[in-house]
Amino acid sequence: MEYLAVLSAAMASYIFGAVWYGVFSKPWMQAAGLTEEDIKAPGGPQSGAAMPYIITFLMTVIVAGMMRHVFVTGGVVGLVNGIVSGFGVGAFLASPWIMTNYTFSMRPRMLAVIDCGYATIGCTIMGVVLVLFGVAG
Amino acid sequence: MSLIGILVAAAIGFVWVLAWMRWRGFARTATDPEDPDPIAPQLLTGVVMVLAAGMVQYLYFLADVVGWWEGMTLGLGLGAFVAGPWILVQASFRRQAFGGLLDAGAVAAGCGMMGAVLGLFP
Repeated sequence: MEYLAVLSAAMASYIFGAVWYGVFSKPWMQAAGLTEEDIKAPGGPQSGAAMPYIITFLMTVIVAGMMRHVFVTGGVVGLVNGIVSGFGVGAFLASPWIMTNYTFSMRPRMLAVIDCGYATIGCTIMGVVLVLFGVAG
Repeated sequence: MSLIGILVAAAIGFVWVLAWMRWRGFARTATDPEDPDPIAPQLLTGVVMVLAAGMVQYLYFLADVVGWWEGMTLGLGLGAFVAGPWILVQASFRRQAFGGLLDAGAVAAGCGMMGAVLGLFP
């Protein structure tokens, strides 16, 4: 059951990410300083290479697994707590570190908005799915 | 929840981020006249480190994490398995997976140090 919860949470966040970066593909490319050629170059997200997507799914499973561990040890149950804790982890734990990287490497603020938005909403979705599976049980 | 713990942990995170960014060669300073961004990276880092320390403290409060060892191991876990993966994912889409891996490792180390302090000041 716990594996199903973690995989479902990861899958939900992964699907959200596909939609998110689909919607923001143009501003993301501009903010990341990438051209159409860059993203179609070997290893790029539209090169046909599976690697970025495999990395993303594996990492998302790891995040979901760790969040489940924290939810279980912290006794996070119920939809409201799942939303609050998931949002908190994304907005106040993942996003701060993303922001420090981007501010020092002088990346446009839009990139931080798009990427932190993905982390925050992605973690919130994972929090919701995890509590729906009753993680603390 | 201890405010002292949050502030000390945030200060350690702040110093760690500055040292790491210098090592990475991201030597952006607040006094660069070419820089159009009015928010100094040091100021932003200081603010977000307080947020990060506060969030970890809240999770430690929920999970009854006490002591530097317990705090450090869970901090390492949060850095390596929650914050770090997002950085690696986003860097890999920019075809900078190696840099992302380095930065994710630095996040894990930073979270570990901050977690140890937060475990000491529950």
